Amino acid sequence: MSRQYRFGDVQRRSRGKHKEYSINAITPKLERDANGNLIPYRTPRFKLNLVEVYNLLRPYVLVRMMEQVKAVVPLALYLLLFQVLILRQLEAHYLIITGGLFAVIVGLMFFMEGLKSGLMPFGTVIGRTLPRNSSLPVVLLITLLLGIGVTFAEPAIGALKAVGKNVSVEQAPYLYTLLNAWSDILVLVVGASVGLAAVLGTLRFLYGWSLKPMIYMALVPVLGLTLLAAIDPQLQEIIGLAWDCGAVTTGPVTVPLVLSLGIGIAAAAGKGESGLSGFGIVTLASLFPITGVLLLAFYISFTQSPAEIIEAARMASAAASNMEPAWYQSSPGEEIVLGIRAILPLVIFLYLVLRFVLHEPLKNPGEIIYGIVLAMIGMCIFNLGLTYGLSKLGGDVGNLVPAAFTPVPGVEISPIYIYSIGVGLALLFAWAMGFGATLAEPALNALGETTELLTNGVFKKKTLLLAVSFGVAFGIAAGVAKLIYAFPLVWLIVPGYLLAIVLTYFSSEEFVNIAWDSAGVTTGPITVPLVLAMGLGIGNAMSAIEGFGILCLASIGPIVSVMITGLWARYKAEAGAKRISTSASQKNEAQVLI
Amino acid sequence: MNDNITYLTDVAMITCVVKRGMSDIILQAARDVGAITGAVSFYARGYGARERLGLLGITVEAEKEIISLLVSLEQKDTVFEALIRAANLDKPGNGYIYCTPLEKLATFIPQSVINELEGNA
Repeated sequence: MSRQYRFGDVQRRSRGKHKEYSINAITPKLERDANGNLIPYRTPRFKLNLVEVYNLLRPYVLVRMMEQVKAVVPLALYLLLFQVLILRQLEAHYLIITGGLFAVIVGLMFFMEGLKSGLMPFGTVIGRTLPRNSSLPVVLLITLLLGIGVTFAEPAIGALKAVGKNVSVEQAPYLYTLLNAWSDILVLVVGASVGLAAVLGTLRFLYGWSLKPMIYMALVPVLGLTLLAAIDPQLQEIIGLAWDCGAVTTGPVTVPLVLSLGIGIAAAAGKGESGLSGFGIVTLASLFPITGVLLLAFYISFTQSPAEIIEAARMASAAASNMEPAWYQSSPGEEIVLGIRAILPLVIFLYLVLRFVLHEPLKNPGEIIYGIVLAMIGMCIFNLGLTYGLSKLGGDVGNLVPAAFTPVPGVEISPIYIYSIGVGLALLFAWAMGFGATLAEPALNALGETTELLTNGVFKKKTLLLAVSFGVAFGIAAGVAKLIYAFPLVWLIVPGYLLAIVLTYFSSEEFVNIAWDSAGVTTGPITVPLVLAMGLGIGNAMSAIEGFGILCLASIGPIVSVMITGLWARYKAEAGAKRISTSASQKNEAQVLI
Repeated sequence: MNDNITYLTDVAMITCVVKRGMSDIILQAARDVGAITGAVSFYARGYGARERLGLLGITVEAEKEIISLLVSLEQKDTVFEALIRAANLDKPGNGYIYCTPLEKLATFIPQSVINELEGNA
């Protein structure tokens, strides 16, 4: 006699045990009041034990931490290995640097999460409702103010102030005063320029203007002022700083917040999200600050003479050495004050707009306050990491790199290699660093995906990643070469941007947008301080006057490389199409002959 | 169109509500235990646990992905259990899964498969 079993039953038996409960047992029992009406049920809070809380928190923290670890650790390891293997030196305070880098990781983790849960909700609500409720001038005014607010909140801006302390006042008085006495005004000018860029970029979405004429119009004053400054021996040193400011501004706070407002305005005007909306603001936001900073420098040069600045700096340093610095002027206190000062004005501004312009209530206030507090804590920790980790590491490496080919005080066996090999190694090092750091930039990945979508797959994400990375790599190498051979930055910038203008003229609108924006996304909060400090370190070791300019060359590199790749892709596509059509016509002829 | 419409019976639907981005892990786990049909996924926002956890709620992602796949009744329990394990659904904040019996299913069936089914009958 045979028995029959369902296969499923057998499988069920052979697997792990399980228990079944009826969910009826835990659904709430509703109660009625005296009149027989149902009393509304109030959902109680969950009570979790410690293990459960740990299980909730672990993946939450781990995922966010790994994002930053992936960005920081490979770069730091590369710099470390380069020092040990090629330069055969290890800086003494690597313990401090390790601690500093850890602070960068933790700080950025806190900051990014705070940004997402504390500041972004404001951006989305304002972007969606403001353009519907207010007139265009009001919207544009708020956009302008927002541009200033986000610039102060940008983590990389702190790096500018940090490096300002190392500039020698005798050699470059105007550069020194811009980065010290005028540093807040400098950031304000940069912020106003970003705001103006946001306004123009928004108008561009609204009226569907082409980006090309805007680029030409923005470049004329920029290049003109640069040439004017290059003639004046006192103002020459400003050029590097001015151009680097453009690269510093477009970071993780500015781009999403300003974009969400701009896209909201375009959507409210019924322009919807055409593929290209969102592009252009980043480009303008990286060009306008250059003009702004140069104008500020000219203004200072009209009002103050170099001798006055040197005198004032001497007085200030004498006064500072007499006085014990207050707690907010010495290291840990200063970073904390800076961190709070960066976030708080932006938050207050956003809240005021929400409350008094839009009359919108704040959704999930608890979560938003949590986010804001997190962002502030993150900014403070990041600032500490900036001082002790990134700036120090970059400075150390920068100081050591010239030891490869020239005698450097403090390095025993310098030059380590003969001149030509040493210079080659230094340039190769800079090139590889630019390539690797760019390839790992998460913002670039997002741009790559948009690009592939926009060009219907003609321009692959991988192609863009490679094109931008090559551009940045050659840019950084060129910047290091500029420091080594001490030739003026103008020689590289002006031809570079003239080439970019020519390429812009021949490229299609999509590639112009992608190429000019790709320059802005490559400079994140980790690469900016590292490259800035490295440049200044190399500058110091080579006893150059200033070490700025690497960042801006890292911006022009991808603009040119992406547009060349775009033109080449179009040329190949057209050539391919021609070949197909000619072979098709040949086939037709053959058929006719038969 | 063919006069004969082929129905498949003994089908169950397994639906997984998980954190966004988990679909690859879920689908691989399903394939590993022989779930041969494809799956569809939707993006969604979740509500409930976030509000009830207070501040801890920020650890629960509101962005969810819903993956729904069709399996045979015989596979149902194996796949169900494999997915629970793969997505760590016994840990808090990871989502939930449910299983629904379906009456019938119709789609294109390759001739070779139909021949095989005829042979078995």
